[in-house]
Amino acid sequence: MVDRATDPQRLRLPRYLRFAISVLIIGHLMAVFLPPFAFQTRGPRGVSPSIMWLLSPVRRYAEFAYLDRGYAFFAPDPGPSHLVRIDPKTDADESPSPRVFPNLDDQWPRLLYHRYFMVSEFLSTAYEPSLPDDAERLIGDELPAEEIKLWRQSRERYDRLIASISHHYEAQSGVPVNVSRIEHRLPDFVGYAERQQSLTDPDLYVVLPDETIDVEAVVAPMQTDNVDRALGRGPELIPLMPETSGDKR
Amino acid sequence: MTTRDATVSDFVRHAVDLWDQFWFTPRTVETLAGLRIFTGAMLLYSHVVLASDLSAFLGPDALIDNATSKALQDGYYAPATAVWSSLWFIDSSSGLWLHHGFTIGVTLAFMIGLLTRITGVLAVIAQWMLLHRLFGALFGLDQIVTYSAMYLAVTPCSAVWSVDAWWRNRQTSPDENRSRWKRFLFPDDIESTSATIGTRLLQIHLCVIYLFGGLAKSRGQMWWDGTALWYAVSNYEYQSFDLTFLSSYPVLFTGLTHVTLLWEIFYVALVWPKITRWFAIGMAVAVHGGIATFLGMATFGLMMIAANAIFVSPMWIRKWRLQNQDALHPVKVKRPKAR
Repeated sequence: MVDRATDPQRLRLPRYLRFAISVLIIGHLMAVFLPPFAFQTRGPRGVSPSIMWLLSPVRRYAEFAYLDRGYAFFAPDPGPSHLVRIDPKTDADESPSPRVFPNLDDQWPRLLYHRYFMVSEFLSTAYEPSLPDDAERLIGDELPAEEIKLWRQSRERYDRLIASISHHYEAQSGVPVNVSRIEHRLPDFVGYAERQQSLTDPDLYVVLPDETIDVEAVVAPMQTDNVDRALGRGPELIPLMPETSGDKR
Repeated sequence: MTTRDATVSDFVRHAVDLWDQFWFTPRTVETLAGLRIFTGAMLLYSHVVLASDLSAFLGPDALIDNATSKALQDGYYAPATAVWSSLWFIDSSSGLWLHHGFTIGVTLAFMIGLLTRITGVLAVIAQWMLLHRLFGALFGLDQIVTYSAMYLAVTPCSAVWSVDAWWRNRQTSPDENRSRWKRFLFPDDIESTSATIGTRLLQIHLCVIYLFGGLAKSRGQMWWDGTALWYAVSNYEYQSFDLTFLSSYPVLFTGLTHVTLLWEIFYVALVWPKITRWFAIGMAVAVHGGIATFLGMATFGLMMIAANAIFVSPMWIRKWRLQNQDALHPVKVKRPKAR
């Protein structure tokens, strides 16, 4: 006797069910394929409209299911690391000493260290120089008001992250702190082979300044490349996703 | 019907048959069951590590606090997304521990295959809640472990090597007809269409990850001039093993850079034909093994290697398994015809 539950014929799905499942599969595959495609089509004017149009029916599903990633690991080029330095704003003798994260001495196991590392990289990616208060007047009609609003929003976002990180350490230590960003630069392999410079050589650590945008450089020749250069940022004026998923594994 | 109509009709019918064959040919679950154990263990480890410093990442005093995490994604600073997390609204320490304890509990159940049809879905939902809350602290491991769990949750991956399978064998004889819900909750160790669908989805997702990972690299200069590998291994924050001696061997590290780039872009073409599959997967083991060993990301590297195992035929494992099971004791498993 053939067991109904295990009969191979019974495992074949009816046609209508196969059709319904196929529609769901195609929708899901669109949500898998289109976000990284959109990520690569991002330019100074935003994402390719055709890809955004294709993505729109599944965009919200992709976002919720965490499918809206770029998969740009160590890309387009491996770059320097970014660290966060926490300095207590007090001269008291018993004030806590400055801290830097990520730090293998403080964070163990490695996975925990890596979470701190990603926060420091995220803060660095989120950085935007601040705009002068009278930027609108200085820039005039050379740049759409919406563009200036986006810049201000990006800066507010960075300020909020700084405030959150500060609050975390202040809640721990009970003293106000100052948060700054440090770039750990990479030695060139030719120089490294010649000089055997240590990877932790102090010369390779640079404190990144918090700057105000040079408005004149922005408005001079109003070309997108120059705007980006003046802002010290890549082509990310209209982000597809809030997280610039990206250049770290 | 003209000859041309017949040709078009034949083509469409053939395409539909191929689609059906690809997605709906039932398969056994050994590969998925192995992946369930590994994915569950990795997810569990990730949750336990997070628990060791929970207040740094969850709650009102976290590095990125609840309100900031929510504001980053709810349209305050950028276009709103569909992202939502229950963890945005939990400020009390006890509430956070309860939430995280639940996450750890369902993940553990998923790993050991206890009521997997339910706990698998709950583990994925709990993981989504965490991911949306941990915005800014995530990396590649979180992506691949989530996708793997997502696809496993729609398959009968507890049909073998699980508490569900043990319970099923204990409660029923092989020839017994069981009710539909019992077969759903405690799936039989037989071929299944949903096992194929879950397998195919993960296989294709891996191809998409590698394709766009490779294309993104191809936009950089260092991946073409061959220096990318040097700049990866000389990054002190990633480094878990010092490979800077490679600076004296530019032929070696530039060669490895080129091979990595080409393998990643062409993975999608190399992994499907049987003749090149083992090269594609062997390269994945080498590249991700290198990342795991030298670049400080053992979790990510191992999880990527495990995900690549989705291309291993379950029939291979089944043959080995049945041979061993026969040797130990008479089996209760159904033996499908070899394909």
